[in-house]
Amino acid sequence: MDQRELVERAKRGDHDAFALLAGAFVARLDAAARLILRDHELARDAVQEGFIRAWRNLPTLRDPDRFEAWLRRLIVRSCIDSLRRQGRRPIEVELSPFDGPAIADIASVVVDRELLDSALRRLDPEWRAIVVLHYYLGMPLSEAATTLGIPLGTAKSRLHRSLSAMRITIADDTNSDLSQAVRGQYA
Amino acid sequence: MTDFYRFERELPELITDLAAAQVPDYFDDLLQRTARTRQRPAWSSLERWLPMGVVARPVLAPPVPWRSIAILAILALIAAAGAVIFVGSRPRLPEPFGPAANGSVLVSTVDGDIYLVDPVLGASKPIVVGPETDVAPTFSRDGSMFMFLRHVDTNMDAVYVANSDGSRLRQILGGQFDLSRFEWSPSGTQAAVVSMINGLHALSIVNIDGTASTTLDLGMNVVEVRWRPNRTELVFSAEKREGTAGLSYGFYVVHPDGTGLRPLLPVTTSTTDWMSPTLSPDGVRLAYARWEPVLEGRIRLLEIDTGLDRRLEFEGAAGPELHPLFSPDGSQLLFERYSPTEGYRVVVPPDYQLVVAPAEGGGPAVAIGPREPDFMEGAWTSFSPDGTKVLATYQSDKSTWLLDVTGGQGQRVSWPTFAEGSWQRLAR
Repeated sequence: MDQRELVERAKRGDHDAFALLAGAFVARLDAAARLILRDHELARDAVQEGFIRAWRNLPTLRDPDRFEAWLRRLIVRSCIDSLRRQGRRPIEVELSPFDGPAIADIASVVVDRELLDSALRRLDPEWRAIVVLHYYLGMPLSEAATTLGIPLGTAKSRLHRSLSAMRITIADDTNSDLSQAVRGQYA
Repeated sequence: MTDFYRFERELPELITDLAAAQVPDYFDDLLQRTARTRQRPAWSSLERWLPMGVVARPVLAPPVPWRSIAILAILALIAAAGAVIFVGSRPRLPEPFGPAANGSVLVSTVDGDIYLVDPVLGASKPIVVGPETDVAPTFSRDGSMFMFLRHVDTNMDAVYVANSDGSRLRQILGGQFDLSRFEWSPSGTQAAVVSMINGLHALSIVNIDGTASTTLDLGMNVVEVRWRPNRTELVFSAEKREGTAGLSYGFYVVHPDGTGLRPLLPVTTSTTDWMSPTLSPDGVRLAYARWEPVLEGRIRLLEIDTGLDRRLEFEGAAGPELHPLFSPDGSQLLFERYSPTEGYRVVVPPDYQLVVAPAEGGGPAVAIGPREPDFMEGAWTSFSPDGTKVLATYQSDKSTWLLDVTGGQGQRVSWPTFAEGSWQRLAR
C-alpha cells in the first residue's frame, strides 16, 4: 500500500493506517526535535503534541502528497511552541575577543560529534532550529522560514550567522583541547 | 571552493551522525494517545472544498438568453450614467509609484484584528474585527483598497479585499496552503500571490474582481515578488532544483502571463546570495543583500535592464548591512546596520541600527531610531509616502516607532500592537 493510500485511509479515520505512517516518520522527527530542543523530555512532549495535532487535523489535509511536509511542519511548530513556553533562555554572552585561527582556517579542523554537539548547544534555540530544519530535515529555506514564521531574509541571515558561530565555537574548543594535550605532554 | 562553503556542505552528514534516528521508546504510548483522540471533521475547514484547481480555473460564462441581454443592456446604460457621475465626484488618486501624500496606517493586532490609525493624532479605529485571525493588511498603490490574509486552517490563508474604510469586504481567493507573499499590481486590479501548489511555492496572478486566476508554470520555488511599474513584468527571487546538483538561487523577471521568463544574473548555489530584494519606485534598480565571507552582509544594486551589478559602499560601514528599502523617490535606501561580529568567541546577539543613506552608496549615512538588540529578526519598516518618515516595528520587543529620516531617536508610538502595517498613499 503506498503512502498516498495510507494517508487517504487515515483521513477517513483508519488509525492503523495512521500508525503505519507515524512509524515511517517518527524516528527522524524525534531526532530533529532532540536536535532543536537539546532536551529529551521536551522533545518527547513536542513530538507527541505534533502527532496528536496531525491525527486530529488529518481529515482537513487537502493534498495527501503533502502529508510528510505537513507533518514535519507540525512537529517543528510544536518544538518552537515548546521553546516559547520555556521563554527565551539566557544567551551565553562571551564578549572576550577571539584570538584563535582566522575564520577561513576553521573548516580544516576535524569536526567530531562532541565539538558539533557543543557548537549546536551554544546556539540560541531559534537559531539552532533553522540549522536543523535546513541541514537535517532538508527543508528549502523558504519552507524553513515559513515554518518558523520569520521572513526569508531573516532565515538566511540567521542561518549564516549560526554557521559562523558554530565554526568559531568548534575552532575555539579544538584549540582548547590542543592546548590541554600539549600541556599534558610536558607535565 | 572555500573552507566556508566546505563546512556548510559537510554539515548535513555531521548533524545526521549526531542525532541517531531510531523509533523512540514512547512511540506505543503516542499511538495510544492518538487512538483516544477524536479527529476533527473534514467539513470544519470550508476551504477544503475549494482546491486550487477549482479556484484557479477560469470561470465559464453560461449561455445568456436574448431577453436577458436586452435587460442587461439597459442596466448597463444606467450603470454607465451612474459611473460618469461617480467618477466626477471621486477623490483624486495618486500615481502608483513615487512620492505621495501621507494617509492613514493600517495595522493588524496580535488578536488578528485590523485597525486604521491616524499617524499624526495617534487615533485608531477598528475596521475588520471578529473571531477570525486577519493579518498583513496592505493598501493598494492608489490607497483606495486594502488586501489582507485570513487564517482558515493550519498553514492556510484566504485572501480578502476591502475598501480603505473597511466596506465592501470580500474574499478574492480561497484557502491557500503556505501563502507566503502577495503584492498589489500597479493598477490595483490584480495581485501576485505566492503559495504552495503541487509541492512548490508557485506564483499566481489573481484578479481582484474574483474572476479567473492564473498560476504561472515556472517550475521553481518563488520566494519574493515585486511588480515593476511598467505593469508588464514581475521581478522575483526563486530557488530551483537542478537535478542532482541541488538547488540554485537567483532573481528572475516574467510577464504576468508566464512568458518572457529570464534570470537577471547567473544563478548561484548559495542561499545567501540573494537576500531581501527591493525594487526602486521607477522599477529600474533592484537593491538586495548578499552575504559574503569576511564582509558578511553587504547591499548590492542591480540595474535590471543592463545587468550591471555592484556592491554599495556606505559611509561608516563595519558589520553586516541587510534588508534595504528604497525611499518613495528612489534617492535613498533604508537598511539595518549590525554591529560587527568577527572577533567574538560566541556570536551573541549584539545590536543594530536603522540607517538612511544615498541609494548610490557613499554618505551621509544617517542613523535613525534607537539601537536595538539583535536577535536576527530585524525590524519591519516602511517609508511614509512623502518620504520624510519611517515607520519601524522592532521585532525584538514589538515596539513601534515613527522616525525622522534626517536622524534622531524618533518617537515611540502607542498604537495597537501590530505585526505588520501599511501606509496609505494619497494624491498630493
